Amino acid sequence: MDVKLFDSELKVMGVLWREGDCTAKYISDVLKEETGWNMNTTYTVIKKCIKKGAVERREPNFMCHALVPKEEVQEAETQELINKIYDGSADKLFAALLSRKKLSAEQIEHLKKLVNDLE
Amino acid sequence: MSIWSMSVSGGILILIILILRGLFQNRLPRQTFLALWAVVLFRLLIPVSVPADCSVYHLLGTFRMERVEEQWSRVFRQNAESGNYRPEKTVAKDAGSGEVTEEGQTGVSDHFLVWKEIWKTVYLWGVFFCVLSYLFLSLKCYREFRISLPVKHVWIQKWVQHVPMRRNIQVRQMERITTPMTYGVFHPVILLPKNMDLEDTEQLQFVLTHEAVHIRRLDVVKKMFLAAAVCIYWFHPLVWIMYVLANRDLELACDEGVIRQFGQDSRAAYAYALISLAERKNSRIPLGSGFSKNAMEERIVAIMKKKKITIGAAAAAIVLVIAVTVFFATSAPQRDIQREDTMVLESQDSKVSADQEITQEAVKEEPQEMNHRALESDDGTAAWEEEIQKIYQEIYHSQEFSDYEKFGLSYDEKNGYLLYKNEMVGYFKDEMSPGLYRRFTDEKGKIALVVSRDAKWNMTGFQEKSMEEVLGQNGQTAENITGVTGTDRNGAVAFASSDASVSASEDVSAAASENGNFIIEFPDEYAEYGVTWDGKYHGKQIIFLYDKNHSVIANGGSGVSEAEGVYLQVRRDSKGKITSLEEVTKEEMQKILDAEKTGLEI
Repeated sequence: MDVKLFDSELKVMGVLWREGDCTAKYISDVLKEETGWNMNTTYTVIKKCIKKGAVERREPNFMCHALVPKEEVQEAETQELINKIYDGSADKLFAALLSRKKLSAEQIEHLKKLVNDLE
Repeated sequence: MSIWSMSVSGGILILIILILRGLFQNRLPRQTFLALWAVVLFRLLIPVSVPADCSVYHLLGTFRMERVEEQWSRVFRQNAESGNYRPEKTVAKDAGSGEVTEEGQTGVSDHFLVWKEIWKTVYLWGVFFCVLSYLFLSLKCYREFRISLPVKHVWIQKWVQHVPMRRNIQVRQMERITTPMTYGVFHPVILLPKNMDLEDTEQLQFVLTHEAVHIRRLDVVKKMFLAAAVCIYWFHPLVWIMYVLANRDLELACDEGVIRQFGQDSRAAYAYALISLAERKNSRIPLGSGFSKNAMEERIVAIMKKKKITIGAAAAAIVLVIAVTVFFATSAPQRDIQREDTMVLESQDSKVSADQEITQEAVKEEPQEMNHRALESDDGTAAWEEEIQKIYQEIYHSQEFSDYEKFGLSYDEKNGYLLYKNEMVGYFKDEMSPGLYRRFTDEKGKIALVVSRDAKWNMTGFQEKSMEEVLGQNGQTAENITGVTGTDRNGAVAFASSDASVSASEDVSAAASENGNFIIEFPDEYAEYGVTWDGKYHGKQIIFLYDKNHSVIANGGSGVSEAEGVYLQVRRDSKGKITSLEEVTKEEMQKILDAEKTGLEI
């Protein structure tokens, strides 16, 4: 799957990643709570995910199975961000992240550890 | 009112507003112009005419919507008219005369009829297409909006809680839009573009307040009405202009509302917020179209230039709106186009009170007073002779006589009759304007003339017929007439109706019965109230019938006493539809006729 996922589709994927395989009905119930979508809307989005190859439909009961793991999507999004906004340089993104004062102490620790590992 | 007349009056209103808007848009509250646009929409979408003396159409005098409309509908109804002519046509064929003119006449109206049909079809398809496009685009938008996601943001949550609104507002975010917008009437939603910086609370408050003003003012509904106007008047360029400008005015008025809330000092901050939103928008889709740049600039300029609204300005605004409505949204009162009318018939025994009246109305703008001449009944001949001379004189001195002369009519003053091709004219009919006829019969004459006119109501010539044809058409024969008249009798008949619809298809004509009474063919609409072909109302002979504003019809009712006969008054509602036929006594009828200043005496 190499087509980008939109926010609405990521919502559906989110449910699948959290809960594992579930029925479409279940997803629509959850999302009704979270986003206010009605059943038709959720089903439309699920079908789009299927078309993009992110979700697989299994019978019986319209079971949905995530074909794409969360990490893969994260990686793809990050790469796109780097390419688009940071001139393809991961370092620049990193520097930017560091300069953001909003990083918590925890996050800074985590980053330092990363740097350590990569070295 | 028809689409045509509404288009014209609506168009004029739009032009007026365009001028006013150009002059005063920075000095008056923007909502003034919204009110004015609302007046236009009312005029365009609601087919009601509001007659008023102060209407500019009445004051101008020369330009009349109804007259224009009447002329058009007259033209279109020529079809019916030429339909009526057809029997004459065959007769004419046999007599071998008048054929050519006949052809010409039907030719003209057929031509128009074809165009009318074509336009009707094109128009309806246009409306269908517009409505379909609008619905399709709207539906597409709504389907996309469905997958928007709710915004979880503390500041926004607080704002929603505290905004004064009866309905619940949702604030959501969406990827594919580039500018904040709102939709929904009963469950309004504010939609924010995904890339909006939600941390910039100053910008956020401007954006949310702007959308809230739209929601509170139900601008979504107003836009729908504008769209409806465009669908119905898709052919009308001014309506399209109105659509564009009114939408812009909605935005500008909204900006004003925001500034009013935050105070004059916030103008610069608000303007900057708008600019930065627009920047982001354009970077994603490099439109840079002149159109949106224009609109944006107009907004910024308007925001910065607008001063605080003074009481003076507000008062001026209200006065302006009222003035425009009163002068331009009203129409000329019915009186102006109303024509009094009489059709009088004389029965054989002119003994009876029947009056012979000739009504000719000037075809000028303001109708003249009706001419009435009462005829003394008993001594038919001399008095009648005098009468017919008067008619001839009137025709001779009328506006139309120069036209008649052009086509071969002349007045023999010495002998006192009208000549056409060296023949004395025995029957004459001229429909001088929609529903207004000039007609006389002098059975001494040999030739019958019917005036032909073109679509612009200019005379094109005479149709010649023989006396037999003309009188025969009405169920009489010349023999009948002369046989029956010991005294000369003729109907000098002028029938006029202010209601063009009555004239063509329900042309009220007179036919002589065997015993000499003229039989009137009443308009069809009387039939359902009990009026029969022989001039009886529920079995009783009608002595006199009065239908205000439509036609006054008098039947001699020879020898019918008041007890045996009936006097009827036709009552109509404000739409001109008959509500009832009312029986009255002779005195009451006379009172009515006097009150209406008809000058008739029964």
